[in-house]
Amino acid sequence: MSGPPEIEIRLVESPVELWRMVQQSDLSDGDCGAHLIFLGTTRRWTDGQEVVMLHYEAYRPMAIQQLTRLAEQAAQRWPLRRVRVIHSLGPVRLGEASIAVIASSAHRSACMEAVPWIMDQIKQCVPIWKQETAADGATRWQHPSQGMT
Amino acid sequence: MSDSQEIVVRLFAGAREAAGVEQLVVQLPAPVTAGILLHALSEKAPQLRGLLPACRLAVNHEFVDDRCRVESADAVALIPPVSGG
Repeated sequence: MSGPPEIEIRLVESPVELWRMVQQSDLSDGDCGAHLIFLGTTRRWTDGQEVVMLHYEAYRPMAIQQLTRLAEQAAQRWPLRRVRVIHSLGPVRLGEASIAVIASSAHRSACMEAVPWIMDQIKQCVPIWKQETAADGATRWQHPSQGMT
Repeated sequence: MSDSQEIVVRLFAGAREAAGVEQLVVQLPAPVTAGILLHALSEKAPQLRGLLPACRLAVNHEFVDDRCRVESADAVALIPPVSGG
């Protein structure tokens, strides 16, 4: 009845309201008593510069492979029933979400520990990059030193 | 034994922007390792040198260390520090 954890990884090109995907989490799953949803959204200020737009690019096959492995590793480390990672590619405007990570588990501690771990790993080993467009129109790829994101 | 290998390296984000091309092609005598390839990239595209020390090489969609062998048929990519999320 418990079966293997359900894993969903998606890279979506068009502007997407990620919270709509969050609603697809099967809240009626009677085996789960906890669902943790993390949304990453576009922040207006970076290093004192006003950002008006983000643009995300991925090395798609590797990003899918790495994200799938992270989700599988998380499901091995914690008793998760479901892991979903959805990342937007292309332009993402202020006020839009660029990433959703959703984890479901029987008890809250598992998903509350797993989601921060998944996010930390994404920021180290998943080949996705963001380019910021500043208010003056200048664009800049973000290539942070490790631990700086 | 001294065959040369033609390695195609895909570039992304700031590395692509710095080099001004989507990919670089380097011809190297076999055996080629990731470390040799990274050095060849800095010779081929000096404008990458600022970013290269922070970059990792991916072979067939896996990060590799400098000793990893690289063949012509491999999918090779230069991965600058990532910033997804």
